[in-house]
Amino acid sequence: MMAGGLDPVGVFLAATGITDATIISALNTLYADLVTYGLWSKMIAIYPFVGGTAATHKFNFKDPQDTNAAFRLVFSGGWTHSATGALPNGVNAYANTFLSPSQTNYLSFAYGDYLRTNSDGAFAEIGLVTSGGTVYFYPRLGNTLYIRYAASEFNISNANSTGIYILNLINGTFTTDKNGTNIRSLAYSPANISSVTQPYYISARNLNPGVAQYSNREKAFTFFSEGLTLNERANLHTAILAFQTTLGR
Amino acid sequence: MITRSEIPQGQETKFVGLLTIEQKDKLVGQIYAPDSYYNPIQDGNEPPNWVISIEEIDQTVNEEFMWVKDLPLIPWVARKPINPFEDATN
Repeated sequence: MMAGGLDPVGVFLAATGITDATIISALNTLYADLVTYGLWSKMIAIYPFVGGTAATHKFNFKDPQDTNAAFRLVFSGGWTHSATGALPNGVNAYANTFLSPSQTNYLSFAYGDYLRTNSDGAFAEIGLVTSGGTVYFYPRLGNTLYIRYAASEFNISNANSTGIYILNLINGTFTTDKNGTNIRSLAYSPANISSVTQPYYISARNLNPGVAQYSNREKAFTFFSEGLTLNERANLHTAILAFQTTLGR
Repeated sequence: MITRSEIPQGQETKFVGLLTIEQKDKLVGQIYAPDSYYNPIQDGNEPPNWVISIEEIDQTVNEEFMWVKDLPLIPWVARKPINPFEDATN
């Protein structure tokens, strides 16, 4: 317990009403790991997808207030929420993060997922289309991973969509990690999207207006953060993996 | 069209609930369960139908919209895919 109030885990538990001892242990370790690695302060939003319902999955671990300003998710369409994560139906399900490029440093930015479904298709895990720039992440479309972040698209061969992904822009280099291994790094210069106020959607693309490329892949962890160094990415992967291992998923 | 109970087990996600335009308008912006909003969409039939998913129907606990559980069900026909790589729209 921190002086003057609850620790971040306690605040999250109070918001979600979670009392399960295994989840609490996993969250305590995750928080401790992120602090130890110097990552907690770099995180913008963390969605651990624990508790098994929309009412628990919606909360941002970093700021678990039930408000748009705290980047609490709003789920639309057909979702199946369970102990293993949040599963969109691939027909009409997506979540609004209320987080827009204007609320991040577009030159120092990272996004990641732990995906539990192996599927091939035009299923976006994050997406935003604006006049300022287009952002998308297709983990596996024709056995190829596609990424675009307000600049030219690039792709990487990928025959299995499951795994822990960390997409990251830092110091003019875009790095893509899967399961703790860097699978591509390249020099990258996105357009200035710092004035874009439309929010990122997850499990689909925000076409602004409209929604498309609904995903059918279960998410068991999603985060947004500042850009991460090589060591920070390795440590974050370790922390996410430990978290999922404790939860048995 | 078939009813919910007539869908073979394991085939549920291949069907969607058929809406009239008036029903669609009633569901837009409404919650079917805590923290979960309806998202009526148009399918790939010509002319397109307004539909909601089986998950939205099955998970509806909002008393105001329990009528969705009696919606006729039709096979899901996806719309012609929007180019997944399209650029800015406005």
